[in-house]
Amino acid sequence: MIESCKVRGTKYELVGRLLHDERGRLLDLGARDRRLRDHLPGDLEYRSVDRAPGSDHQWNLEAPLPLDDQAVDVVVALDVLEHLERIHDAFREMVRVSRRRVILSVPNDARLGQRLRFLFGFGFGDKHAVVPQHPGDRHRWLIAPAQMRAFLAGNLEARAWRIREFGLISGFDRPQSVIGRLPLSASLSAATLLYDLTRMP
Amino acid sequence: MKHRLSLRNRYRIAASLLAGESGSLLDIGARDRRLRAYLDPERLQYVAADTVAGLDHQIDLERPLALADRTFDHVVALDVLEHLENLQDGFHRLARLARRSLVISLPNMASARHRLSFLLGGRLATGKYDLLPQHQGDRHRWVTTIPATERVIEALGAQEGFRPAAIVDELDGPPPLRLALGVLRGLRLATRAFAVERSVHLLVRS
Repeated sequence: MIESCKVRGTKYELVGRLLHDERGRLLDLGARDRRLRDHLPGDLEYRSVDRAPGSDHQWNLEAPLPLDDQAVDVVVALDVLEHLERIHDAFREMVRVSRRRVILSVPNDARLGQRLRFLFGFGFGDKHAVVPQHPGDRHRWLIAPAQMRAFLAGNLEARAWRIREFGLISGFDRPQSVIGRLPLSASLSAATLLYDLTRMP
Repeated sequence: MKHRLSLRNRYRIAASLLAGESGSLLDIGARDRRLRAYLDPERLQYVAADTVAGLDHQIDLERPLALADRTFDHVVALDVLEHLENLQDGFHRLARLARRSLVISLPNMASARHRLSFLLGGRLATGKYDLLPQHQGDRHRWVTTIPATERVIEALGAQEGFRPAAIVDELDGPPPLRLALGVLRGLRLATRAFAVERSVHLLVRS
């Protein structure tokens, strides 16, 4: 059973709150500008991973992580999985190297605003667009909440992990800001889905 | 480029675009060689290729091909490119195999059925985009929609020395829906993107 709730604010703020009491080593996969670090408690030793130079580690997340099992305490991957063709392998790698927590977020492509955009012919946006030059980085999956929950459940050892789902309703644009205020389920109103996975003792 | 509407399936449309042509024809992604039944065997020598073994050629468009450029007069790829991670390189590879013409079809995921399915269930009217607990291997890797697909095929074709010669739109859904959408489209009450299940493109060497 996955607990679910709606929250406001940014994904970084939420992760900061969720990890308030955590200690140890944290690995931020797909860290980009390392923005998450500003929201974390000082007790966490932060390491960033990205494809581009400037991170602590330049690793390809389509390949196995060069770490032992449970090598770090917390793994965070915010808006990363949808970029990977080998999404299943990448997720299992995150779980393998984490001792206690895995926190990940994905866009909710099945949110009401996106459904309406698609209905009126506006497609899924630039990150899914077919273009004459391969863009390299792009969104490779359409993520819907029900499928994401089944994906997590199907790739985690039963009863070994607690799964909490947070629907981030803050919007990318004005329609999303309005939809976020409506009394709808997180599946319909959230722009981003954030999952907090905790390894059970 | 003028678009023609059709109630026929992609195989019949492809065959009609090549009516009167002669020479060798490579069908990439041939599966059960269904296209062959619609071609004139007196004029076109049919050759089948797919990623799996058992056909005339085993071809993976994600990798460089062992066949020489311009090996075949005509190359056909019906609903193939959207399965590739590198759709663009895949197009270049199959285009180089063609001496005279290319017939390419791509599904239109913005059609009425898909829009309705996505509105009501948050999922397109096909399982080919689903995120499943296990990776399904073969899947649609691009959300191909009209008119973006048309611009991409024209641009990629031009890079390989091809120009668009015809586009035939296959109407969406089962026969009654096709008829209704055809009427709506004829009356200009529906856009191409709304009414069409896929477009079949004929490109010829400039």
